[in-house]
Amino acid sequence: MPRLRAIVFLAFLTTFPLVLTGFLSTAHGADRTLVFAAASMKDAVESIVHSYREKTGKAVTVSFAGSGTLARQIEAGAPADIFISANPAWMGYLAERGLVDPQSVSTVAGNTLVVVAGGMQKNILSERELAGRLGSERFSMGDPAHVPAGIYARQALDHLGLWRKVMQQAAFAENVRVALAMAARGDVSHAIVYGSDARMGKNLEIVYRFSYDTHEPIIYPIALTRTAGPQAKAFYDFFKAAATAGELADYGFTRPSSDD
Amino acid sequence: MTGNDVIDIIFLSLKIAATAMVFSIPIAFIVAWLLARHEFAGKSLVQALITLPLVMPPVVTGYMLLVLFGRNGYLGDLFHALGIQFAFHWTGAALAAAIMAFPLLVRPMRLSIEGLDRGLEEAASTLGAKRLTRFVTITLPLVLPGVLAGAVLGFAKALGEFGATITFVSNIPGETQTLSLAIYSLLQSPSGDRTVMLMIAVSAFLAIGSVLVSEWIGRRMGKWTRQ
Repeated sequence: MPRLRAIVFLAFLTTFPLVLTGFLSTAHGADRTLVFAAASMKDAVESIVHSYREKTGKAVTVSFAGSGTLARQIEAGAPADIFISANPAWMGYLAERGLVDPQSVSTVAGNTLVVVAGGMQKNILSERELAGRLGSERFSMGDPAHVPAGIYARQALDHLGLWRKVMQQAAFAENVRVALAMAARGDVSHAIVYGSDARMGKNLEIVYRFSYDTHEPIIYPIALTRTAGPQAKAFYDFFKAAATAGELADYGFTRPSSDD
Repeated sequence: MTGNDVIDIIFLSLKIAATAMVFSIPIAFIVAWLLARHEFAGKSLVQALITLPLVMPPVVTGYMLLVLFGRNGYLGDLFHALGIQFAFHWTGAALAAAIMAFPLLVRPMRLSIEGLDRGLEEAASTLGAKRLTRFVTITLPLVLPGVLAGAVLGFAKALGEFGATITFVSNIPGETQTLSLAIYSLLQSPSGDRTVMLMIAVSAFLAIGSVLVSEWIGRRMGKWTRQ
């Protein structure tokens, strides 16, 4: 029955696209405010977007990804109005190329570096105890070759004179969340992560906080892009005010310092 | 994230994957045909090029797409002039999905074209069947299992694409945020656990469903063509 087969095939071929074009109609408003934000700030940014919508009735769309990915997309002409980076270097990259308004670049949050451990222990370790723990048991951290959290962790351990003693126990992860997950699953006993990540690990406790002067400052800058409109400016102002008022603290971020 | 949001995300993912397939299946068929039936200069180069998305890191494919099809990119300009926008638009997500799925489409199609007994076409030809009639009544029905198997596998791949999509068109809710990207976003937050499990279940269901459908088609078609 070759003819029947051919008919079935042709029927399939013609109806399939027709069925599809039925639901191919979407038009997206061009007047919305689009924010590109570092994935690590997801909950914090979303809570501010939520309160902005409650106050003004205006919706803001946020695309979360790695800071580097987002910066390159803005460079390639992405229609983003606001960029929130987890890293000043990527903000500088865009500022140098005139893709963000340099006047608008400002810090909205800071972060801390902590050591988390599994189990029930809640007491904070002394520097000596920390050295003993990290020197004798496996711990995880971001890869200091390219992961920002790993770079800060190495700086801090170096500053305390511990790096050479403990580096052989370090398991390097491709990002800080993986380092955290290793500790959460009990594959390693300790992990060096951001203060804002620590709350992600259920049954993990912060056992040590690195002092802020042991590593480069961990800061999160915000800026308006070159193409941002007045609506975006309104949200930008709202976000900065909320950050200054300490609304990001619930998510483990520190308040931006007053000098910038 | 509400139930409606989840449904919207599933529909957007289906729309993107389906669009990717509608446009890439005919092209993949032509390419498979050329590779199976014709010898030409640079054939191995074409083959290597098609396989590339399968073996390259998806992020690299995504970045290449961003450079080529971004608003300042070469091809981006060209398509923009034609009124087609890819960058940071759902059509771009479909383009990324189509390119990532392309090798999976071509391979089974090519194998089924190569496996075809050309004697059947010649016999039809001696009986006076014209070229188009031969193609529609003999060739197509016989290679159909390969085409459908490729299509279903490609669809599943397109549905699950992540790396190239987030690198090329970003993670914009309602526009380019597919199931995989939504799962990635939810994993960034400790409160997302329950929704994540739901989405993972949906995506596993779609993937397993596609594979089962493809196997079923394969068996069905096998019987059918043997009749």
